[in-house]
Amino acid sequence: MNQAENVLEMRAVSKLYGSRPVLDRLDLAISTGGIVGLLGKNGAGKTTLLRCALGLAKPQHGTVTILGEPAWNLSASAKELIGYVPQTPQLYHWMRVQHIIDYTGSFYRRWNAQLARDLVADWKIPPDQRAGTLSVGEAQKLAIVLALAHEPDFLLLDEPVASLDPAARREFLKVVLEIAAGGSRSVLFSTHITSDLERVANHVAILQNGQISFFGELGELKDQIKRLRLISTNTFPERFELPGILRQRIEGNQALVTTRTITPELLDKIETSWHATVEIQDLNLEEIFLELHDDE
Amino acid sequence: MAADFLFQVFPNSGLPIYRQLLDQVRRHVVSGRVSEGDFLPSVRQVALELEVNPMTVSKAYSLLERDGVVEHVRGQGMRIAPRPKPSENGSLRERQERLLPLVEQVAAEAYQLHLSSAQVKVLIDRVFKELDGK
Amino acid sequence: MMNSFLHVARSYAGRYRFWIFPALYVLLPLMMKPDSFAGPAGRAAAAILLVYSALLAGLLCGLVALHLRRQLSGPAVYLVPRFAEIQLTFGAVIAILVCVVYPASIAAIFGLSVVQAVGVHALAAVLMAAVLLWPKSFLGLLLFPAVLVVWETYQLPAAAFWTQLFEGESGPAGVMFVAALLAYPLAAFAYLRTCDRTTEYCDDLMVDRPPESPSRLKEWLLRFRDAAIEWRIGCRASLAQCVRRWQTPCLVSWWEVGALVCLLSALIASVTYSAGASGGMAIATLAGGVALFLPLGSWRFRCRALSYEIMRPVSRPRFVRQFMTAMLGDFLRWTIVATLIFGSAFAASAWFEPQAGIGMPWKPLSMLWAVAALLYGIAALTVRLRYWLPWLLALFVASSTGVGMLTSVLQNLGLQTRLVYPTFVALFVLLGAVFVAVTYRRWLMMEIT
Repeated sequence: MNQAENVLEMRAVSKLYGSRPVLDRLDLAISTGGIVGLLGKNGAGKTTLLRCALGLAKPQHGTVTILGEPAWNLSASAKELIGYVPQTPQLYHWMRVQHIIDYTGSFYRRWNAQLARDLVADWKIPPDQRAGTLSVGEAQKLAIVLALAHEPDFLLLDEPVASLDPAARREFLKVVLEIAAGGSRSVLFSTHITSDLERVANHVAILQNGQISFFGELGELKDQIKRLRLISTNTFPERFELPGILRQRIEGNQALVTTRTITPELLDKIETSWHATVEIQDLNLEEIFLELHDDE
Repeated sequence: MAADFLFQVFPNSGLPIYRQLLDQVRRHVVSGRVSEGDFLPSVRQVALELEVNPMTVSKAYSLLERDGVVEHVRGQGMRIAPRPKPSENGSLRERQERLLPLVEQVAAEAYQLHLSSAQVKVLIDRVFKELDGK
Repeated sequence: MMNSFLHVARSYAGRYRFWIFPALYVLLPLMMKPDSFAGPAGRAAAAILLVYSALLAGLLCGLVALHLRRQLSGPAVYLVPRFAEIQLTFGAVIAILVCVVYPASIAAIFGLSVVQAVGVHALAAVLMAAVLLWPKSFLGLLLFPAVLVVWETYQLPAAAFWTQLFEGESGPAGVMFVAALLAYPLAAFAYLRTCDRTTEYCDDLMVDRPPESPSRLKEWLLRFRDAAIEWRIGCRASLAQCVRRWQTPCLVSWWEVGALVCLLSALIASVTYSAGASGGMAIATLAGGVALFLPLGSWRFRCRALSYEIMRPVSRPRFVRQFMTAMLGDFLRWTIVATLIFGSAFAASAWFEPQAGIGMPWKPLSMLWAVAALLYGIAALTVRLRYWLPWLLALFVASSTGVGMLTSVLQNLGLQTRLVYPTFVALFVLLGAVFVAVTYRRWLMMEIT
């Protein structure tokens, strides 16, 4: 596979459930070597996006290409390179952990049994226990091991850390970083936990209203979206009419404005128009997410 | 030889991680805790220790290189570059323009705290004295 | 007070399983020809009706027991006033209706023994509830017939078995037979329960309940499975082995199966000896029928978790083919089990009662295989649906009825009588194949949740 190609390309993808559009002419392109976090509200369609990407669901319009192949009928060799962890682990509860691992491994040509063993030992999953008796966290970890052990080029995870305690989450993130360290592997994971995303992801995709409202480097997002605290000697108008404003709160001669793109021209304009001093506040990802979704 | 760097980043702050690293390296250089010729730890090392994405670290490093704070030595990594002479780094006016936003922020804070410009100058003189002492 | 009542009523009304039963109870007498209830043969018909209703009563009471357990462990017990009392009252009313009122009235109408009727129903209800609430009692269930042999009741001629049972005139063999009759569907249900933990089927989710380890018996049986699993995992390469590999999780080892067959054969033999060929055949029919349904439990679970399976490195068409073949393989295994059970019944009757003249088993066996083929097709089609069991049963009944009607049409068009049976069989198999083809095409296009 050409290194420069995108591992995932979704063009004008629309997916409707009944008459309700979950994905609406969505465009997304993920290139090799990135760790991309998919962020969105509950019910925004993150799981649907992942399922369309894997060929588990078929969009009504648009094309989905994963690892260079159309997603709907992936070939066996493409599936060898993909690892997927769905949201709820459905493990064969009557089988032992080690048997489940071996059973899954028997399908793959490139299966790193040693890696599986190491992960199981590190994460303290008892290999001889039956999967039905594992706790939710252990089951989730096992599902992750099953997806990692064949060293996929593209790893897709749907809320992988939802049921893990903070220590387990950190370990998992470390493993993800190690996997993506070489630069030839890509990871796409959807999550609600913005703090994890901030740590490991270098790209963020925000899914809003069925479209990707932002896709880019996390650092860029944080650089661009800022909250401004304005203090003036005069009273401010009822509303600011400035480009790129996400949210504003005005009280007399003080105002809090969240803006999408911060430029020196904007700051100049504010200062000259209203004789205001501007204090720039940095927003972390959680706050950015809340500001972006404020009008809903 | 890599200097004893103890980076600390807060991934959950509003400041991007790469910018935090940038600022920390710059502060270390300015305060004299590292001198020219010292090597920064490798990207991989920093990423492993801080448990962050290595691409973030390498972005910080390449920005440092672009600004001339560090230079890349083949086979050995990033080395702190010698501090440029004043004439090499742009005219006085340009350099003042670069500092202007920070000065404005200081002025705004001072205004809030009811400090006059003379009182602020006292502070500035004191900080410069500490720097020159190093 | 009224609110609590409504709350409890809603907890029952909201679950589809509790709506099936009123429908079944209405359907039950309609299934038998109305005029069969008139006259002396009416008592025999009423007795058969009582048997079916005993099974239904058992199932219903078992489900009510599970429902009660779940409701009484939830938060509503503390929030809704007098919740526990009302729930228990509801449960008791249902139990009394199906175990006492219904059988008592039927028995009274037809002049059968009310005590016997109510007793059999109550027995079924208690057994079922016991198995579902305490899975360890499963083993006790199999010993139940032996315990009952101790009871001395009446003498029994083999032929008029059912009527005499409900007239209170059956001997210990009769009681044992009834117990066995009830035990086998219940045991199968319990077995399914230990295989499959889907909520719709087993109602096992309770608030704050830790995951339970399998019972000791199950654990012991599972060890045989583990060995077979390990052997399977080692197999690679050929298509047959691919299919076998897909079967690995749903494996039932030959040890388990063999043990079950031996147990059943022994029971059939003993019942044939004491109660005659018809008794043995009845058990074989029931057990064989149950055996055909057994693979559904674990395959249902797997078919709901396809997002894992389909991401294995196999292209979709090949995956569907291999997966469905693996499922077919499991069904085949259980059909063989059913055949063996029938075989042992035939052998027992030939041995103990050669004069009964049961004859060659080809006809029933071919019917068995035809039913199995149809069942596989229907199972493949319905296994991924939410309300799969009603769909499955409905399709089965509809197919059987449809084939029956088609056969009578063909007869009117001049089909020879001796060809009727083979036609029936052939149509079943054909229908099963059609369902399989439809499922294959659907699965190629389906979206996986």
